Amino acid sequence: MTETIVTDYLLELSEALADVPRDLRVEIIAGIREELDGLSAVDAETRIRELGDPAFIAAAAKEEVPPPPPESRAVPTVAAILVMIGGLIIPVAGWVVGIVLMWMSRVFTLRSKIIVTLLPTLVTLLTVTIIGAVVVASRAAEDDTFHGPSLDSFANPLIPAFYDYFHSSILTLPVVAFATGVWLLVRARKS
Amino acid sequence: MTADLGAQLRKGVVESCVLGLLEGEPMYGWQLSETLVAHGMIASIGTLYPMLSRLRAQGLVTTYAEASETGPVRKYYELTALGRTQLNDFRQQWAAFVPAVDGFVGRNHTHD
Repeated sequence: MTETIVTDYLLELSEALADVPRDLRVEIIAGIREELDGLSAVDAETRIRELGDPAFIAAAAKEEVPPPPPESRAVPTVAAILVMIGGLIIPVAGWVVGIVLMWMSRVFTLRSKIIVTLLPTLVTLLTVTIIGAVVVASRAAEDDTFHGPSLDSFANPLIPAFYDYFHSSILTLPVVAFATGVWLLVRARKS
Repeated sequence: MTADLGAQLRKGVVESCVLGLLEGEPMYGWQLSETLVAHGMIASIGTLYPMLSRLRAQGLVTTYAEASETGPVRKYYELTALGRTQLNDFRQQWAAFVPAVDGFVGRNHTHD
């Protein structure tokens, strides 16, 4: 019972403090948790009433914290451009530098950062899987209708070999990177 | 307007009040907050922690953990040597400040 009241209160407080710098948020919650630990349900309720509304505590804390100086647009803009075309200038490394700069910037949300970091790899893997599945399926279909000698004995140079599909699907990497970079640039400009 | 004036006055002195409280004995967060709120020096415990972390960043207070009699481990705040020096500086300035302001503002004569 006590546990629930205290946990609920701390959760509410943690949500109210979402905009407060992390270190301070941790310190406030730890300070209030130590005050509520080991109290009976009645005492915990009384203490929570004395502590007051989490929104009020959070507002007071925010008032004390100077707002962070606005970040210059240079870092997010350079990050976006490098994510777009960095990989074309210096393969892989250019894109990686862009991704590092993007993570350093406070302009982008955590969600955008994760999406931009993972999307090129995920899309490429997905393309490889789909192309692979199509190739396997089409070969299986051919096997059903073709009753001559095994296809493997004639390597038709006009039909791309299996690994060619994989090579081609690597091309999706720069395309997706470019698209995510454009998206970052739009976000950086809007902020 | 009155609330604003009070808040402005408190802003300049409340950190020194924390140092003054800690000079007597090391105290934990709630203890400090309860005392300061009771005297109208801060609005809530939310005001206290940003202040404590500023004081700590300036090297005026330091912390240590100690288990209390009732169970939970508490974080105590303690004055450092630098904190003591700062408090003494404040005392000297405050002692000169109060009569100076009184001299300018004087008393309210309308009801005398």
